[in-house]
Amino acid sequence: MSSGLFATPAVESLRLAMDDAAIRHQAIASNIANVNTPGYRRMDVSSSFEQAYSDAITRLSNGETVSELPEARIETAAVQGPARPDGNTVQIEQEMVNMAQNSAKYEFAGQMLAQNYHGLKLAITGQS
Amino acid sequence: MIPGIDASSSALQVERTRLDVIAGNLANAQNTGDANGNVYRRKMVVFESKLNDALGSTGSSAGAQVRVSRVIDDPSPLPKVYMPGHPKADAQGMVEMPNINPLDEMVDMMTASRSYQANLQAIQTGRSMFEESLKIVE
Repeated sequence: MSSGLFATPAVESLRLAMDDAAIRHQAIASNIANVNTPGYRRMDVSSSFEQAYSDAITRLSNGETVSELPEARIETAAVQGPARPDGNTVQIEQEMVNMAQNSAKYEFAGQMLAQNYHGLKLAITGQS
Repeated sequence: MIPGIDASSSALQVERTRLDVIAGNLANAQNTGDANGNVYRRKMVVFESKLNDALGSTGSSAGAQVRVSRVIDDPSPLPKVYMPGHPKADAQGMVEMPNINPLDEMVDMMTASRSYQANLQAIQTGRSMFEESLKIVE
């Protein structure tokens, strides 16, 4: 990523955060959809993407640039909680809490990004 | 476009199917002669998850959907009730009744409707996330 007017570390971090939250919502939606499916094991964002994501955020906060992240995937989570008698590992309360946190994160990043562009527009046009 | 919509909407469908089956069971709780002339047996839906082939795409089609794999009859024994005047009563006056316990059905119905609500909530959250992303360009 080249830095410049639009690809500042802040904008890049927010963009990555939104990507991460969007893919995580798909994993959570799958888990909620399969809460009654016997033998279903809960899914999460792939650990390779998680690792690349947190590395990228660290680099961006140090003012470094990042290359493109690997494609975000969701897969069966490596760490599973206790299973119910039917073999299902989804805990609906936990999923609902995760969903609330995740959407708050997405909306926060979205609003910060909008603010960022709003500031740019203000600087360009001199009017809000 | 809306994250998670495929998985959530598939779950809405299967929970609705489950509610249909529960309603059928409750309606037939006293049915001693179904379409084949046999005593009605409790129906049960079997869920299975369907992993999407396009797993990993950041588009709308990722995650595990859920579907009804089949509807099966409950094999548990049919209870017998003493009703001598009943047309289907045997020599001892006993009649086989459907193996339906209304309490079980009510509990299942609550589970199904709560799951339906949870999935609706997931869709609403996904939609508000999508709307939030549109606000960036305002």
